[in-house]
Amino acid sequence: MKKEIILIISIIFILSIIYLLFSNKFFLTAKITEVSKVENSDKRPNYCKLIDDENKCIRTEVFKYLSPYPSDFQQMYELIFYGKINDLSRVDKKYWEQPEILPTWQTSGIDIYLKPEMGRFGAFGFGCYPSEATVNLKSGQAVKLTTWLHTSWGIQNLQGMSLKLIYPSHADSEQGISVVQDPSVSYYFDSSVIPNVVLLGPTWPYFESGTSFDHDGWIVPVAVEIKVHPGTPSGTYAVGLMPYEPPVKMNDDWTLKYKLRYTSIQYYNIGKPYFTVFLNVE
Amino acid sequence: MEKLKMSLICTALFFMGFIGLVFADEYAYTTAYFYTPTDVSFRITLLGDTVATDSGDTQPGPRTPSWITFNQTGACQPSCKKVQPKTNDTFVQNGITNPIIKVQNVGNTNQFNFYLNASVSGDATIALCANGTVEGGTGSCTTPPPSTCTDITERSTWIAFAQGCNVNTILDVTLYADFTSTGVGQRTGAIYYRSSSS
Repeated sequence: MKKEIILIISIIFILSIIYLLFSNKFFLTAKITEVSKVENSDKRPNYCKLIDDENKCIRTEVFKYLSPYPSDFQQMYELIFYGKINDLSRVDKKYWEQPEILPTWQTSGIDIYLKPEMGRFGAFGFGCYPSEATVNLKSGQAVKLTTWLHTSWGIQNLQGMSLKLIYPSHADSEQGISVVQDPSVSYYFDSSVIPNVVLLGPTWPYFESGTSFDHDGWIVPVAVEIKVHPGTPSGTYAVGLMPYEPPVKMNDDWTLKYKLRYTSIQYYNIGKPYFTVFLNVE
Repeated sequence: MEKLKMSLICTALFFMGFIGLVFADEYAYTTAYFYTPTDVSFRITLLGDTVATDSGDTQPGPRTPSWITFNQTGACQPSCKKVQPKTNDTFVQNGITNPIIKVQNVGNTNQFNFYLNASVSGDATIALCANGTVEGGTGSCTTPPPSTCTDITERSTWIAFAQGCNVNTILDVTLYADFTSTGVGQRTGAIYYRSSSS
């Protein structure tokens, strides 16, 4: 009799455990589904405008290769725009690969996508955001900075380029700093840029980014490192990031692979570097 | 004993060398910097096909080459004005109403300068000139593009085509070629830009 009671109690115990496990599992599954739903839902605003008495909207397919628009995107945008994040290399890709990360999305991007000009195509164009940094340091110190090199709005071509740092003879900042220097000041610095060869992806008809593509995507973080040699005279110096033609071999490879979709950079002299670092050496 | 001494000296030298290598290029990294939220960028459109956003093409892209063809068939006096991005009459420049190139300052900084220069390899008889205008309702430049056709084949000088153009300004650029002294044949060349800051 005792044995039977122990057996019944054991069976009830095991059944209870199984029930608890399953109910918990179901509960967890339900919870995970809920979270995934939230994570996967794209919070991107709709971009619509009345054009020629017709309500036009940017097609959502334009963004289909990008990660979902984060629900806290606007907070991150403000932090970057107002300089509250110093180290841009720490910003997650899910934020910087969104076109809305660039302030010019509002001022020119939306209109270009809402009303593409028929009979024309976006052939060339790129830029950097941010395009300026001001650094205070002493000789013997160094700095690492990040900028986002990006294709301009509505460009259909892939654009290949090399990136180099130059010491322009003069440079003016939006903050009112003006530098006139002999380009031979390069003697005082060791500088490098990573990556130094880039194949930018198109922004039309889609913003191309991510593992579906073997180019670098429509926007690429570029790291600039500048070391100031000990004994460098105090003063303000300017270092600029400039694009050049890509290496011949890579240019040929890309031309063979992408054919009319590819171009090496052209029309790129716009009178100033795309990213300028103003160095105040104490 | 001597051997032990030698070993100790060698070990010490090795470690000193190692430490020297590790610390030789040591710079302290500053965090005293700030960015200005500006964007320097430009956009150029050419006459040609626009791929639709619903094309369904997995590798959508231009069907139109990104180079420009000056096509002369028959007499062309005093200058040839038929400019197109490929051998297709649909996309032919028609003066300032349908310029071959449009350049837009799509950044958020105002001092946008645009320079031009061209070369036709091995044939100095071909002259290229460009003129332009600021597209109505888009912006302005402190030095607007030249209204008369300006030679851009001067190999030693960069032509400052327009300067001080503010945000969203669109420059309409028309190109013309003069083949009057040129023999029969096909030539290729480049319209290109100095890759350093001015």
